[in-house]
Amino acid sequence: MSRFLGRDHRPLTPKRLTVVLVLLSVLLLAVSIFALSVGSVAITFGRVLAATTGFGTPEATDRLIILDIRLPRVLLAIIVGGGLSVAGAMLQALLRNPLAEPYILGISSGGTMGTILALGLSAGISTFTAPLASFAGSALVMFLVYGIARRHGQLDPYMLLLAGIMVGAFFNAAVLLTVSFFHEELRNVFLWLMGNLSGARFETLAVAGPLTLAACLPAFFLAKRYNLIATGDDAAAQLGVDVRVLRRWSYLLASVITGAVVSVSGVVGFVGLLIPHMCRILFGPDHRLLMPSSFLMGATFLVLADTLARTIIAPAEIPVGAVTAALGAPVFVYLLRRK
Amino acid sequence: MPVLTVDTVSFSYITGVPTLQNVSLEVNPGEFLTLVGPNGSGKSTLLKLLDRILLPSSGKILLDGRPLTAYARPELARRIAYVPQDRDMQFSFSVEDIVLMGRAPHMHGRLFENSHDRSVARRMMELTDTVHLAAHAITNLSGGERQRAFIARALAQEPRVLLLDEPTAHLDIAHQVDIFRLLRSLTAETGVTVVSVSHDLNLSALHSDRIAMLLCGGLAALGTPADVLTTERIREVFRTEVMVDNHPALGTPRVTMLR
Repeated sequence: MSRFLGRDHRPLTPKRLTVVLVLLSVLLLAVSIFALSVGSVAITFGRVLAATTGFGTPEATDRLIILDIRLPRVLLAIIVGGGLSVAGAMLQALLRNPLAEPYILGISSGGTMGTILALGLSAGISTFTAPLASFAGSALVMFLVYGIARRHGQLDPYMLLLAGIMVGAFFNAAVLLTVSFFHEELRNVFLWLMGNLSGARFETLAVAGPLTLAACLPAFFLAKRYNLIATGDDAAAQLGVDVRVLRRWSYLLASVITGAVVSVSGVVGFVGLLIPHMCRILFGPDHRLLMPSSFLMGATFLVLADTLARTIIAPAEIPVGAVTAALGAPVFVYLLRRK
Repeated sequence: MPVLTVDTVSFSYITGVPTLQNVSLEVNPGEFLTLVGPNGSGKSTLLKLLDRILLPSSGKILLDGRPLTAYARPELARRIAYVPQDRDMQFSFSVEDIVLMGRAPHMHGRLFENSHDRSVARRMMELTDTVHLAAHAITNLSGGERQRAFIARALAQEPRVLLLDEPTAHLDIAHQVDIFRLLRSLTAETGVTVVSVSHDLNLSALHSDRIAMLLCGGLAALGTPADVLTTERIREVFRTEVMVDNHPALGTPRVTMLR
């Protein structure tokens, strides 16, 4: 059984893909129900199911807590965890670099700058101001980095990496400068910088969610091509892949995912780097399985991490980014040693 | 009709510095053509141009009489396979995974390989002596084993033309001989055309139908091994003194280095 699920170096079959994805989906569902039941008010699984599905006799208070407070948060964790993991996997394939992760191309720095400007200038005219400003900041970085890294109409991976790091560093500096001038008003920025799912609202989730999912979907269809570029641009080109188009689209999709996620949850670190690697160790490097399993695994992981973050020192909260690193690093080391 | 026609092709990586200048040659169907020449003479570049991985700055290249640019990429991938020089791998795909990638141009958008794809891949692994490595991660292989895996992948494309960039660079003597023998038998039995870049003049002399010798981006010589591999020609192109006589058993030119 473990040989079937785990790495046995045989080529991927449709059967194995289905089994792994079904199991991961069931795991995600279980963890989500668990997360909905946990909190300052403990609610049993039965009542959780009643409140969410309407069967049985749901209690009004249950519905309020679960549907208005916990459910958006769990959904946000799924979107953020899943999205960042897929974006991380895409960038690792795109740059042929196992150290790549969603923030390496500076998107998060642009998003942070956008949020700061929104918080500083308008102090939240609507729930959408900060996320929109954040996404605009991310988009600005995306265009800048794209413009710098483009050479003869192609996105050179080396240039992309360097341009992303440089532009990111520049915006990071701008963020720090701004915060140091207005530190009183922008105290919250630090919390945001470490990733924070407490601001989950259905209004913003209704936009960021579908956007992220829509950008993740093509990644699953491009999976075969990611396998092919893993052995080199020339090798992929001679097998029929249009490497230029693949790079452009992947860059756009990864940026959109990262920008959308950062606009509603801040900079949740570590997930985008850790999860694709975990999935690679557990299920192999074949992107046809790696992409969807990264999404499910990332979602599960973040739901768990966020549940911990909001319950361990209740009623206070730990920034979820701290929990992802604290949880993730030991798990990753264990998997590495086991390999 | 020649399978590949190179018509007055020039190419520069950096504008103003030509890597290839006005090269013209024809490759005959089913022939084994080896490209030789000093480092930097443009051999690898020519190979990449033949598979449209690079586009010439002037001139044109025809495959079966049609310009390369007229073929759709997947269509080209079914006819020409290119084995690049060895490179380091970051992700630990298994050898079987790698060889199965060669089936991509034949899969027409199918997500998974079928049993025919798997049997073709198996056969090519048998031909390249890599079956015992099928479940091994490509990152754990030696340079030579990796190369044989990539050759198997190119063969799995079932191409009409096989382009190889120094296919025997890291191979031990037994595998060097095996690969050249394999390429030769492929041309003889299946009519595949092979264009290979090589630094091994003797192996090239043993197996090639013709040798093209490049120098500074131009064609210095093109002909049978006997025509091309002479002391004078090697002195002129490689700027080194060698002794050339005939292979005692086979009569092909034999290049012997001097101290």
